[in-house]
Amino acid sequence: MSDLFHQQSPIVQIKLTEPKANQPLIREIPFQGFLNLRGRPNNPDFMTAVKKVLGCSLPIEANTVVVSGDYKIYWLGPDEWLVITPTEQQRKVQSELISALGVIFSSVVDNSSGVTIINITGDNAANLIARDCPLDLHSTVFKAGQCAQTRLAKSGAMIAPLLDGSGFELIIRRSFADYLLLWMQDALIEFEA
Amino acid sequence: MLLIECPWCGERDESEFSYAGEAHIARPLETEKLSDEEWANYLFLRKNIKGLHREQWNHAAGCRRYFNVERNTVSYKISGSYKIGEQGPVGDDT
Repeated sequence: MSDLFHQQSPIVQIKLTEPKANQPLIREIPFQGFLNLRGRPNNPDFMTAVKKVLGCSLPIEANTVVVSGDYKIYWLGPDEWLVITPTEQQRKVQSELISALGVIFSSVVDNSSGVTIINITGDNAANLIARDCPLDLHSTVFKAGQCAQTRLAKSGAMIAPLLDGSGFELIIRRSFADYLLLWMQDALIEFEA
Repeated sequence: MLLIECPWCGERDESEFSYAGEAHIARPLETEKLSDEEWANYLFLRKNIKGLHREQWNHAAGCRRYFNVERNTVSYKISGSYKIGEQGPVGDDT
């Protein structure tokens, strides 16, 4: 991860206004640590080594999230996970994972500068995303603790309901963040009145 | 639009997937002994089935894994999906 001193939010040029009427609130959670972790879930050595560092077992069930202290672990694929850490802990977790895994068949890749988090909360949070997303976002089928990689306005996104039920967390590529935020601002007009 | 079932993520919209051609094409073992015709047959020739067709899909916008789907090319009805390496379901031919 580049030094914080030089870091700039990918949506720095976009002015996020206060929500009007029924508009949901859009806020970025910038500069988190993102680690892409890969390994074989049927290898007990891999699972124990990861558990020792992160303090919890990796989610094996497809499209689920596990929270362990400051860390959040998202299922990305049958042998792939995304670990989100607070900014200042990313380097520590990465080096701890690498040394704990040693020669075990696995990979830990820092993706911190590649993605960012956008939180959408409040009324119509689901309706805003549903403007161009094929996923069923209804709270009876898409619950807290689940996550899904899908398509949002022609770009890729990871969507997860926030644990407190107030809305959704989007994990998007920073190169698409500018485009997606402009798209969202346009989609927000519907909820202005 | 098709509703395709990913073996890991469950049913998702077709737009999340990309098509990856006919399934169950095994690479010949002793390629050096093949004639040009046999090699070309392996590389380029594909069936054009009317009815049940087994094909590969990639969940490109989701978990990015390849899997197999059995689909009827006439009705577009999908009779099932299964992981690579498994033997798939045989749906009814209607």
